Amino acid sequence: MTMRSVLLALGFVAIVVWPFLVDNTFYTHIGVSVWMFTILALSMNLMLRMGQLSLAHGAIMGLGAYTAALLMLRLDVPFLPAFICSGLVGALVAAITGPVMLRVKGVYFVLLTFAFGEIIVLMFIDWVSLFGGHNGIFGVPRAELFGFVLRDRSYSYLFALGLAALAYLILRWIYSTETGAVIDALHDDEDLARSLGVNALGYRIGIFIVSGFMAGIAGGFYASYFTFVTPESFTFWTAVDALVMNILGGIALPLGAVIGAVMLVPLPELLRDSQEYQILFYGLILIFFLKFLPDGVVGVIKSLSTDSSRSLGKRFMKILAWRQVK
Amino acid sequence: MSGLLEAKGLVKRFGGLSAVDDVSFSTGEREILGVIGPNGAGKSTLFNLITGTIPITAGTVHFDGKDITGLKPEQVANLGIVRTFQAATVFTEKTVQENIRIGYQFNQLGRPTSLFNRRRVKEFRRKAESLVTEVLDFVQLTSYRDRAAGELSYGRQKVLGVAMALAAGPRQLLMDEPAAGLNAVETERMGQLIKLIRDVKGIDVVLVEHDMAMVTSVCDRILVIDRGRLIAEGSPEEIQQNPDVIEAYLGVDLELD
Ligand SMILES: Nc1ncnc2c1ncn2[C@@H]1O[C@H](COP(=O)(O)OP(=O)(O)OP(=O)(O)O)[C@@H](O)[C@H]1O
Ligand SMILES: [Mg+2]
Repeated sequence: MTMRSVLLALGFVAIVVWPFLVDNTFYTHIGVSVWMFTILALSMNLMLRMGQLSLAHGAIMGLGAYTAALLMLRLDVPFLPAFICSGLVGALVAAITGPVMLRVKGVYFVLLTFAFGEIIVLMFIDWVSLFGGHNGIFGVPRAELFGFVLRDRSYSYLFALGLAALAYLILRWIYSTETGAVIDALHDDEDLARSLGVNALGYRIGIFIVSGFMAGIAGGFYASYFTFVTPESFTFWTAVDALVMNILGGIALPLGAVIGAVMLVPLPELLRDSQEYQILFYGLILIFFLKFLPDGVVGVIKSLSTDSSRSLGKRFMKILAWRQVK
Repeated sequence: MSGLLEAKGLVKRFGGLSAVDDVSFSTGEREILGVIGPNGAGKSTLFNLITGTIPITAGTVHFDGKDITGLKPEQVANLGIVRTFQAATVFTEKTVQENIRIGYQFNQLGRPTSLFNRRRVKEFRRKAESLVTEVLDFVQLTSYRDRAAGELSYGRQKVLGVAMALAAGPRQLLMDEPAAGLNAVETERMGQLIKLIRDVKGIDVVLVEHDMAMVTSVCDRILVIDRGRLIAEGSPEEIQQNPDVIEAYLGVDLELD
């Protein structure tokens, strides 16, 4: 065994036994949040890879969260089906709105998804009888898998970790198949792709549906983990967080989304006492990365391990190009 | 003898400008049809209309007897009309062989639902390897197989663009200025390749080109477009002697454009 695989194995074991290692509810909670947002960041990674930055993903996660909460509380649906429904609702929303929203690109798509997301959040706030208004919904039952209730945070941690790992493997698989080639082509040169026969809109909708499912699942987990759901957790800031995670980690690989979540999620938890500096800190990190490390952490690792690294950060800069061009 | 493609009364207006103005033509079987005209004559726009890249103002396009007016680019491509672009368009971050595989994939698995057809996906994967090898050999890019497309010279990128179009399995190829930006030797080779595409692959070609020497040596028949209008049609010899054509090109250096 090489040094590298020993380190990887140790890292893997450390991640799995983390809650038992630290034996501290606060650190375990941070771990749970990290893996929960990893799912959202991975779902955002799918959108970014095909060149469409969605600000509706926070709201889609919210729809997943309210779905799970309402199904369990109002209709006494058991956790597992309710949880799966939260993903299905995310997918359904993508399937319905995708054919309209995905016709536009660049800044227009960003604005459209922003508006759509905020409408969803307004719906959570104003439809008090169903969604409970600003107070949201309290008393959501905890996750229960095959008769075993995840009352202990450590078990929630393992559940979240499992979900994140699954999402990660699914993304790896998608990118390695023919769909991955389409996603890259849609981003790089859609006209060329279509001239060769790709139904660009169809693929975009399909990818949005998968991404929406994952965002919904993140929400379903949220509801049962926190046992309450409030509207302000799902504004466009949540989508921005998922975006920033991808920038920090690098969007070229799904691993980037994971690394980004690991870097970003603990920050607000650790900086709780100095909230006013939090946004400033965010901004500084973001500027630093965009300016000096446009390929994120993954880009740095890549350029260290290969001599001829082609700039994958260009991909991201292209998405952001509307800021200069439009 | 008649070919697959037939355009009738095609019109495209951009605001007040008639970029394509009542153009009708049809292709012949196993024919290389040239389309020439000064800059801004409307040649690329004509291709964009046929392939559904931009909406048609008036007129119809038929392919193999079927009305394809208003179809989307991917639908047109799936029917067998594949175009190449005026600029070198390849996926620069992919390797040469990946680009060709993509050309084949995008035609075979163009619809996302086709991914659920496991038999079809398996068949694609089984055939892809040998098709890539064959196309690479045909366009003589075999030695660049694993190079990133973006690292190739401009001329080879344009050849790769043609290779991708071939991999998509066209029955009718529309080539927009394949020789633009190429040097004399590369232009000569591109001309040979176009002839081979017709002779060996049996694919009909419509060729938009500025390089008069290439057009007259490669094409069987030539259409001349000026300010959106079809002003002449005939064999290369007839076109070279046509007074209207000489008039339209007056003061325009055909060779160097
Ligand atoms: N999308 C568009 N919007 C407005 N005008 C356009 C558009 N596309 C082309 N045109 C105009 O239509 C006319 C024909 O353009 P086109 O690109 O078809 O010419 P071309 O014959 O291909 O020229 P070239 O030899 O330079 O490639 C030009 O005047 C051009 O400015
Ligand atoms: Mg042109």
